[in-house]
Amino acid sequence: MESVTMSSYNDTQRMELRGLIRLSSEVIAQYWPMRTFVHHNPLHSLEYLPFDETVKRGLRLLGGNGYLSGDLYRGYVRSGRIRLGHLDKALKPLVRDWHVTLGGRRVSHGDVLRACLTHGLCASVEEPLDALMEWPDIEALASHLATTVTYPALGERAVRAVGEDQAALGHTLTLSNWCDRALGTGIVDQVNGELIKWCEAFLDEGHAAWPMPMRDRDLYGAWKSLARYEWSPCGIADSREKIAQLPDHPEDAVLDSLAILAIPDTLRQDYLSLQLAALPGWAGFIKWRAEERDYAWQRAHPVGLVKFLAIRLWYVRELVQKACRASLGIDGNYGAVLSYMQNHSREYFLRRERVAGRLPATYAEQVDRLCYGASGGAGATRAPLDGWSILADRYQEEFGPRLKDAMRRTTARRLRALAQALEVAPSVLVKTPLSDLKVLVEWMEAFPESDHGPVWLKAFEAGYQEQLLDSLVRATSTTQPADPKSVPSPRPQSQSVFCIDVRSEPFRRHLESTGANETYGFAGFFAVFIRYRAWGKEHDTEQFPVIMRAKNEVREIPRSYREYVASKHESRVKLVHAGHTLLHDLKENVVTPYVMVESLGWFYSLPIVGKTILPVLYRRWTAWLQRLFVPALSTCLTVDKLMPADIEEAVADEQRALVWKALHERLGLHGSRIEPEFVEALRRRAMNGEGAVEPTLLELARQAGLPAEKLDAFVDVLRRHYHIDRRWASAQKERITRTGFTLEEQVLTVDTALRMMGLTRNFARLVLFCAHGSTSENNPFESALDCGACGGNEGQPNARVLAGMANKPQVRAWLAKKGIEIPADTHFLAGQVDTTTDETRLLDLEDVPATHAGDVARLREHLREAGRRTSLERCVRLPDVAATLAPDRAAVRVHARSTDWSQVRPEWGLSGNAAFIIGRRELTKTLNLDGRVFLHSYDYREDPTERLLEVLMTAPQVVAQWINMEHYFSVVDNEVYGGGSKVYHNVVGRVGIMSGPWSDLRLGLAWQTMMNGDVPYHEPMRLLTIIEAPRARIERLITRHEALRHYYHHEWVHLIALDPVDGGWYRYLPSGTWSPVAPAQV
Amino acid sequence: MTDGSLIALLVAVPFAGAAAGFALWSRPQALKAWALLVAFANFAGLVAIAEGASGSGTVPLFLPLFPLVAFLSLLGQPAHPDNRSAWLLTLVLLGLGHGALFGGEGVGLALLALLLGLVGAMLYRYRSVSGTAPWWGIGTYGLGTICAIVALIAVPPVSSVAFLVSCAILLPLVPFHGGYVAAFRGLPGNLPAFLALLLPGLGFYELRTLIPGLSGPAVWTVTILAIAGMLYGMLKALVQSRVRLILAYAGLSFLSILWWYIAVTRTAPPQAVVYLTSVGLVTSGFLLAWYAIQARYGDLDLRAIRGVAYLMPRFSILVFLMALAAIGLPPFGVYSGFMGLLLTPALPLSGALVVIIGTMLAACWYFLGLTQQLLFGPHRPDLRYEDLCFTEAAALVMIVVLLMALGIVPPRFLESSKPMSQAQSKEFLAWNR
Repeated sequence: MESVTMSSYNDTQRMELRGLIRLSSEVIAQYWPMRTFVHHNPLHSLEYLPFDETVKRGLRLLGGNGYLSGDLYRGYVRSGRIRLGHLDKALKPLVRDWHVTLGGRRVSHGDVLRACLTHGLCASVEEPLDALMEWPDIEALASHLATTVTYPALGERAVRAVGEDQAALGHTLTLSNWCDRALGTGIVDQVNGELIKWCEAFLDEGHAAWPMPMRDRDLYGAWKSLARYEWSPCGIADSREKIAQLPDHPEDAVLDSLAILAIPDTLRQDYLSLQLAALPGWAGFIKWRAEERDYAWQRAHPVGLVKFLAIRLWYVRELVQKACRASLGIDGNYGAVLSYMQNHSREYFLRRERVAGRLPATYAEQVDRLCYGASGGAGATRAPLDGWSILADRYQEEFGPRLKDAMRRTTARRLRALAQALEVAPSVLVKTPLSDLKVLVEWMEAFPESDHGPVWLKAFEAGYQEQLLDSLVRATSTTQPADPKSVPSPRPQSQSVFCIDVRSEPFRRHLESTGANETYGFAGFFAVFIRYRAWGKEHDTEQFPVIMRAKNEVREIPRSYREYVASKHESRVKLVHAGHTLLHDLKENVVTPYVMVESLGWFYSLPIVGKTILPVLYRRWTAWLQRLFVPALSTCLTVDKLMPADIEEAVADEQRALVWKALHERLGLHGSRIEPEFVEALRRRAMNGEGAVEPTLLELARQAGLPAEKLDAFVDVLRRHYHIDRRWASAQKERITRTGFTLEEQVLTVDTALRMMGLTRNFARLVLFCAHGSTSENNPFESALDCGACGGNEGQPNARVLAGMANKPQVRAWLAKKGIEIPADTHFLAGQVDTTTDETRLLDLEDVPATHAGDVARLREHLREAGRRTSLERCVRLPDVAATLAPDRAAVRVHARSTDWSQVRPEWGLSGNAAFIIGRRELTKTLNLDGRVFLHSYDYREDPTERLLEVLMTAPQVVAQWINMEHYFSVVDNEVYGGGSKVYHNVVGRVGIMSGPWSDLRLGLAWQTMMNGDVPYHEPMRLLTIIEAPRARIERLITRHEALRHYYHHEWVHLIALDPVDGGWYRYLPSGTWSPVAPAQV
Repeated sequence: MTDGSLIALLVAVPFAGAAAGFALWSRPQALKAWALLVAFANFAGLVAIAEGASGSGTVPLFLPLFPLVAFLSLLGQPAHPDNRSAWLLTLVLLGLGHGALFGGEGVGLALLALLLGLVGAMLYRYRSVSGTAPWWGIGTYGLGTICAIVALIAVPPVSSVAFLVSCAILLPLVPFHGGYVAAFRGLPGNLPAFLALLLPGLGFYELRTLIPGLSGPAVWTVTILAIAGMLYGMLKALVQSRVRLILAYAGLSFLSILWWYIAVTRTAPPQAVVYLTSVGLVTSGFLLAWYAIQARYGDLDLRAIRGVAYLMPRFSILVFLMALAAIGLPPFGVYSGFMGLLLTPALPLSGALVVIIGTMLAACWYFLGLTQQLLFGPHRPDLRYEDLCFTEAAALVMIVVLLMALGIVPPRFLESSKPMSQAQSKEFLAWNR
């Protein structure tokens, strides 16, 4: 193609483009790195649209189905999971009062629609032209239909196809897609391949042995610098010159490409959306990174969607141009392509049919021959239009009647299936008037398979909702809320607060059954918004829902009486780390692997054999070795914030240590010659001094052997290399200031948490804040099993912080003033349950008073028993555990799964989630909810201002909805919205997963997490939120929050309220009104 | 009954069967059953003759496979009226084939000429309405007919050359492969699957009589053409998107290996029979499998169907097994035949071995590519997938079993197919007179 001339655009145009790209990127969701897997709705940005509309847009742009296939829904009908009554109810809005008579039976419109659903009559299956398999009854009926069924001539079909494609071009069809469809090219795959290659290399976060060079420039800059060294990428001629001529601004490159492709302004947003949607994984990750400006990798290697599109569109424009020129002799732009379709409709149609594989082989060959002529192959000239016309005429002549026959057979087969579904003898069809048969066919055609999804989903959800509501109503009919202040309850043995995670439900149920243990549900971050750094780690984790932000930091530090062990621990950890680094370098170096494989390769057989044959034993053994070499460390958390003076002193101390180190390293001074006064004077000089040097400092320097003329140079070194200056000190202070909580913050945190969970009186002697984590081997999705409310991390730091705060006498004193009297003998304890093994670990036991040893022992025993029972319950649901197990065997089994590195399903995780109940535990205490319900404790009586309910509906409910939608979409189309099979997964760049060696980043959850064989384990339904609170309060909150309106009015979430005012159950309708839940459901 | 009259009877049975079949023309199911019965009776008769004549060298043991393959190819056919003529022609071709084998010098060659002419005529009759007629194929069979007649009436060396050309048309050799390819491409029903074994089998059988007397230039020419055939067939098979053409060119490249071997060693040991039969059976099997697809969805381009592995498991397993056989993996006959050829002590080290290895590697590429394309990937939602019915599956299973049997059969069972000695070769085929 012609070389691109440099275009100049002004800042306004660039800004407009950035805005346009921001809008275009709505269709793709952010992609969080896999180490903090965040469940989210892959169509989150489109939640302002109704659910069905969003699903359609997802299908149009991403190609993803929004509903299960009809076959799976029909399977649910056969199994009784979907009841016909629910199906009829869901169909009701579509049914008209029409009837026909078939074999003496009156068949209604509703009967036909239902048969379409239950018997799959509307699937777009076509009869082949030349099939030799004979079905005599079908042939007879097909003959009967001869006069009613028509099939358009080729010319008419061509015009229709051109019309459809002209309308789609730019909206749902890119020029590259068009070339692929019409010319049989593979431009989309080629461009995707290039973008995957560059994104994979540029976005690497330490995984690659040889990182991509020039990443200090942004993605576009690095690509420009490196791509020019490639020899003809994708067969683009003169690529080096063309890339060199590209503008420096990526915005300009995008605008240039759009201009060359001649995309009209009105289509640009859709067009860019389609380009992003071609690789939603990588584009989503870039979108996330671009929004995380403080992210270390983003600061080091900036990337954004504009840059991504600048590269992508360059490949697109070059390849489209090349394909259109070579095959059609036209320019590769929007206008030229439209014009070609308009003027060569029959040629275009034949080409498209050939690429789609819909032409008989003999015609496919002839189309190929004409295409070859058109492309100028082997000295041929462009095929004359006559060639295409003759071929089209011949095709129409030869296959027109056969196509009509095939159409008749298709209709006959469909009618026959309808008759069978309606339990009418198919033989009556040939005796039925053609007009009636035509009506039946029209009804079926007016209800295509693509319209079935919403109906199926409603019926599917109705079944579960009815069953859940029935059980809730039965349970609550005997439990009337009593005034908690008037009737004191007996003091429980313990109170445990678990995450709202659906996996907590069975554990809580079993813990309650082991003794007088009360349980509560609360978002797993326990209202503690912290950035947390574990001891010995270099990076913080964000321990809060991703929709929030934190201003406090907490660090894990060794307990002061364990200083000796700490230093030993630290040095051993360093040794282990150095060993790992050495091994890694040996493996990844250019030369050493050859030697290493020979010399050390055999040692790797030990872990391979151990992990494969004796995984449990191997894990125990390695854990023992680790404890032996790196002694366990007792730690605490920096919950309290330092006073300003303390901060000042801490920074100064750190600076003095650095000065000392500098004197030693730079001047070779040793301890005895370094006077503290000299160190302090140097520090002050580095921090403040610009003028004349103080005589005292000169004198001290002279004593230390540092000549006066070198003093300033040394101070400069302190500033430059040891960061002893005002700016760094200020940053240090700010960092330390963020560490910990003030007393007021601690009181607020504990008060909020306790009130939200409804735990404000009748405290037990032991209150456990139980976080959760998981253990699995060889599982890149490990963090998906951790706590979603803690940003995909384990929640134990949050539990420890909250327990630490709640145990403080000052905090308790403040809480007492606020009306929460915590008895002196109540101790708050932190713990963490492993959702894979159901084992609970209690933390910070050093802080438990000796008086509570018995309580702790009892609680521990109850937790162990609850874990065993939970394991037993979970084992029943696992697909490969067929037999009923004893509790001990179940515990062994789940433990073995957690250590098995070939296990693709260490646990079901959050699969199965379906509902979210915000209310008192009394509502659900007697129910077995099968681990499918998020349970958040909430007592409306403690929340007269609905402030707490507001938080619950706008935070935990959002998290639950994200989790629910992640699971929903991962099931309905695992290839597009899910992660595909784990069998093919490869970790890339430490950021995500690819299928095989080369793919887009996989978006959602893996096939094995969702499916039990071919049947979904997770039943894809939208979240049902049930709130025990007065409707008026809920309505006020919905009015106040747009996000909630989107949820309920656009049918992303179903809402039902148990109104304590009249004790009734009400469903919130998309119209914004309440409807009493039908008596059948109660 | 004498052997001669028994043979005459066996030749006559298929003709009679075909003629009687017209009586059942209006009942496709009955006609198919009748054709199956005739083919089976013919098979049983040939087995009996082979048993009686084993060791005499008159009836190679692999020849009963002709009626057996005819039977299997008929077995998998849907009882559709469009297939009736193909069934009857199968019987006619079977009779002609037997006649060419057992008819002796004069009658045999005449029937061979008739057979070649009939195949050419069929190509013309079944030419595509839309496409160009397969003139190259028709011409090739026309040439074959003429050559057979010339071999019958002319004197050496003209008769010898003509006979060699006939053989090169039956057992395809570049540039006489056009008929073989056209037969695969254009004939209806089970005919391609049947001819995939019948034509090369006849060609090989006739060629055996020529081997001892081949002159130096003839050997040199055949060697060059065989190598060219391997390369040409391999490259053509790699670029095809129609299954029948892939199979035709694959067959050409595989059978060119046999030509090369025969030319270089001037022998046709049992391993060559195993190889030839296995290649024929694999090709037949694939053609039958593809015919099952055609019966359901029409004559499709390979790119138009995919993802059948999950929805048509029986079909997929059998196709996959045949692909394994085709690429020369044990325990199938192609493997043992091919290895048997290569390990023959008489085989000299030659640069052609590189081409042979390349041919096999290319076969791995396109056969596995074909299988991958057909079995895997997303299926087409607008097609109604139906797995093989019992008879279709049975036919393919038996072919796979035969392939395995050929892979493990001890060579002594095939000893009777040794080449004739110089003295045994027909007088009119002498090159150097």
